[in-house]
Amino acid sequence: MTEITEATAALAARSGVPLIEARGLSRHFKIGGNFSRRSLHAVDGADFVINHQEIVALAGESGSGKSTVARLLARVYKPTAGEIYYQGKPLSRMRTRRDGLGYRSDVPMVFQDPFSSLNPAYRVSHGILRGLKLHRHDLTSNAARFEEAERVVGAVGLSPAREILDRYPHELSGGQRQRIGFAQALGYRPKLILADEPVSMLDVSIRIGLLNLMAQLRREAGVSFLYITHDIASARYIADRIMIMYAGHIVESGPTEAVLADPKHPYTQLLLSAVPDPRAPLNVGADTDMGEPPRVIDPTPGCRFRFRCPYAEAQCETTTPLRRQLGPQHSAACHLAQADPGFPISMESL
Amino acid sequence: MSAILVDTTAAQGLLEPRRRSGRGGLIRAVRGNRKAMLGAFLFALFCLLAAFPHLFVPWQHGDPRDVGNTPLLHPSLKHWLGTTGLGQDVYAELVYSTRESLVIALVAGLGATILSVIVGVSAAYLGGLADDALSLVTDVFLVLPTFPLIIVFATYAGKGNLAVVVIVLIVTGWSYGARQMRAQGLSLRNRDFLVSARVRGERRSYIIMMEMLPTMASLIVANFLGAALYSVLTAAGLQFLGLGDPASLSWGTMLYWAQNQGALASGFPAWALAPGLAVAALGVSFALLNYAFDEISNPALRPIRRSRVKRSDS
Amino acid sequence: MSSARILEVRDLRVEYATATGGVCAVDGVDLDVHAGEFVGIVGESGCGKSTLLFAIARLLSPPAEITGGQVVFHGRDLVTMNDKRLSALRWRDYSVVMQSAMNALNPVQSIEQQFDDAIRAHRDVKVSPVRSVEVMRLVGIDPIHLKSYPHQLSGGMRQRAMIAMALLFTPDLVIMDEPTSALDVVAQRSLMVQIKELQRELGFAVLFVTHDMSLVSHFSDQLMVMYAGQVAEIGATRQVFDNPAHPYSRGLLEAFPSIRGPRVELTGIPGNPPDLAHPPTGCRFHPRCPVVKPRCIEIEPELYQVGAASARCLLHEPGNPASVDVTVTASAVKRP
Repeated sequence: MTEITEATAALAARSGVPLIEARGLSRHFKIGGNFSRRSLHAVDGADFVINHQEIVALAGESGSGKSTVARLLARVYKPTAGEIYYQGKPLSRMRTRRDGLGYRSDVPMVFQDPFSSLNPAYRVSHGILRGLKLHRHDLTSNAARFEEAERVVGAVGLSPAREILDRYPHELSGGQRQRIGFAQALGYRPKLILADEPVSMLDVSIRIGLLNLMAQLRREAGVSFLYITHDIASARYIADRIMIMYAGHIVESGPTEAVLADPKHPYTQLLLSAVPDPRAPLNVGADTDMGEPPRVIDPTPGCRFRFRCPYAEAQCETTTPLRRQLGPQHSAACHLAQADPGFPISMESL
Repeated sequence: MSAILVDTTAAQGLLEPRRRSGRGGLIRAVRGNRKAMLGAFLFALFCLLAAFPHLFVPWQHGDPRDVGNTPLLHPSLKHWLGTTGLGQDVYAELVYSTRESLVIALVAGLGATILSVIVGVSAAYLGGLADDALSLVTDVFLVLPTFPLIIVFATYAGKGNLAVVVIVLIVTGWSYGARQMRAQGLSLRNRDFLVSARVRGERRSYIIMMEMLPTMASLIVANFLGAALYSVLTAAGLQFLGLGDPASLSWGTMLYWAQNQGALASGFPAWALAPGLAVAALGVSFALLNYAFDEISNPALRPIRRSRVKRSDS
Repeated sequence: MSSARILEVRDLRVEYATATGGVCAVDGVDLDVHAGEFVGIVGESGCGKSTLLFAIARLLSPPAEITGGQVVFHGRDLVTMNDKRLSALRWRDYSVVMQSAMNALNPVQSIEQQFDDAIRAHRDVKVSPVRSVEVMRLVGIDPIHLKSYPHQLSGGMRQRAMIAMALLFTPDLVIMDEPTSALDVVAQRSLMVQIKELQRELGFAVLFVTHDMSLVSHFSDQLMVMYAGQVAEIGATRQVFDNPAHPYSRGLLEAFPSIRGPRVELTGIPGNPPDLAHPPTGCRFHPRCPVVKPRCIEIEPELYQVGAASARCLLHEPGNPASVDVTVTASAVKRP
């Protein structure tokens, strides 16, 4: 590809239809046995967009619904309501196996637990080769597939590739196993990789290596990432945009720096103030909050954060706030933030 | 967006030298385990006896069931375990019976295991209504009283037919294993590598056969050994009760005739005890192999001589 | 902070028995804990920090065993003490908080029953009849939850209940093994603050093991960094943070991206922690060290004094001309 056509392609990709668009995405789970009518609202009314060649972080605590969003995008679950559009086409219309496989090869997933994400009974080459067999029709022989497997293993920083492919999962370290997970995804020549907390179970000194790998893949292979995490600091490190989830809702979304510098939603503020940072002096703002994110079962209208919010008012009890734009590409779902542009007054200097 | 430029190649380049290979480790593991060695030895012995009985009874010509001239002899140098009421050499009968008893054990054990794997794992993976239905069937078979059922079946379906015995054993023996398979299948179901296979786009049948089953290999083998043990004992019991073919050459039948002729009461214990001990010995070999497999596949059960490699700090 | 030493660990060694000989998980650790002090022990998987903790608490079971050294608590060596005298000490003078409350609490007993269990185990100690209520209040849980079962409480509350149980007899030392790792960041923060407050009120010392260095940065007085079973660096927390003397500590610190300040590229620490069955020769960190020198491969460094801390690095060997100032920059990452 010449320089000019590359640039045009990039421009077309950027100005055209987004890679992924979710509208009103919801997923509920029935709980309590066969005859109960109670349902757990894991995700409710999520609207978001993921563009080409960008890293979007989806941050929240456990139970916020972020993993469910990833699984909805990976088609592990079907949405209870709402729709996911892939390059403008709704996923619910993809019925044939061919369409489904095509989507899966564009949108693979990397998992959190290095100890259970690879089948312990096979060598690590197994998953990669199977994936290549299913999705890469341009590779027509075993030799070609093996060569490609070596290439992707090298691309994720593991060497010597041939020897690594020959190993069993228990013979590799956690960091190496996660890299194999990325190699598997890379083999499909994907457009978007769903990374579900890929570094949470790794040692701290290994995490940076993998985060750098993700940034490198975005830059060199043009892959987008949906980076699911509970660690805001790592989200800031690699993500272009960040979405904060609480109790099934996306409560704030925007460019990473903007959201971290000027958080509009009280929950984002709370999260940020609770992140330990050895280089900054201890601030006492978040001490009084002892709460934890709720499990949302048969919710009533109203802001789901109202029980822990220091600013909650009457309308927060009755009306569920919708996410509205409050700055350039920066939106938050809070009545008070939407009413007053200067809200909230930061209690500690960031 | 700051450019983050780091050469990650150097990061994980150091590969630790391989300590042990994947499959060769099994042989080594068996060799290092006393129970496994004993069980394996016994089993090998029985296989030899079944395959080449004439090697162990070189003087026997013709069918050991042929009626002989010297009935009811005590053990002697000529007849190591004496003779039966019809003059047949007990030792020769014992050795030649190994084949049928072993075949019953292996075939019925295999059949029951296959059935329990299919039902149990499908129930676990498919979930929902399929799971409910399959579990109901399993539970029903589990609760049925096996021995009376076996007797009824065997009597109805044609006494003495070896195939009937094997089928009856399979039908009554699969449900226990199915329960175990389902339990393990359920615990495996949401493991990431299975979700990963699904996200990869594999078909469900592929996932069950090629991704789940290999990880359940040790449980399946243990199941098979348990089913084989059950089959040996139950088949012997059936034949002892006279529901087998009284003309067949098997340990249970020997017991039947010994009982019939009052061997113990008349003071010819060798005739009754020998087949009984043989059944027990085959059962013991399966049981030992079963223990050994547990220990090999689950390091936590091993006697404390080895270390556990700690992956996460503890 | 009073300078009375309540715990002195000297040259502690713990080995795991294997078919091919012993693997040394803790190799000669020294540690002093003073009354009311908060000591943080940080390190990554396999460094031996949890093994160290269990050894100090005398909770190790085969194949692990203490093969050398002393653990002197209130003047008595715990290593040589028999079980009977240990039981008298346990919970009364020191207690343990585990990593996962769900695993440590009995799922079929209510919280109150478990507290009573502990109280009854030490009949000789006089305890107020409402002690259970008192400790629940101390940790900020409504005493009504005494009747609850562990699964009915949220994760954060369970951890608090564990801490309450550990404080039943107001011990002098509370040993905690990563008590916050199962919690989310907000619950983590409030638990840490709570622990600090309790420390101030009741005056107990804390031994806190974690893999998350930044978590203890604001709460600990003394910080120990472990690597491959040895103490890599130990000293006043502020000193270790502001001026890490050991390249590993520095690498660890720099592996934490910050949410404030400028966005910088980070490199982490290349390679993997060593196999303790076959540790590297000389300094155990040398295969991954950005400033490794030829001597480091041959000589095993001791702990050398560096201001208010000590570090196990030849850079700080007395008489070493290079031991003046260690500024290791990210660009000096050495390619193996």
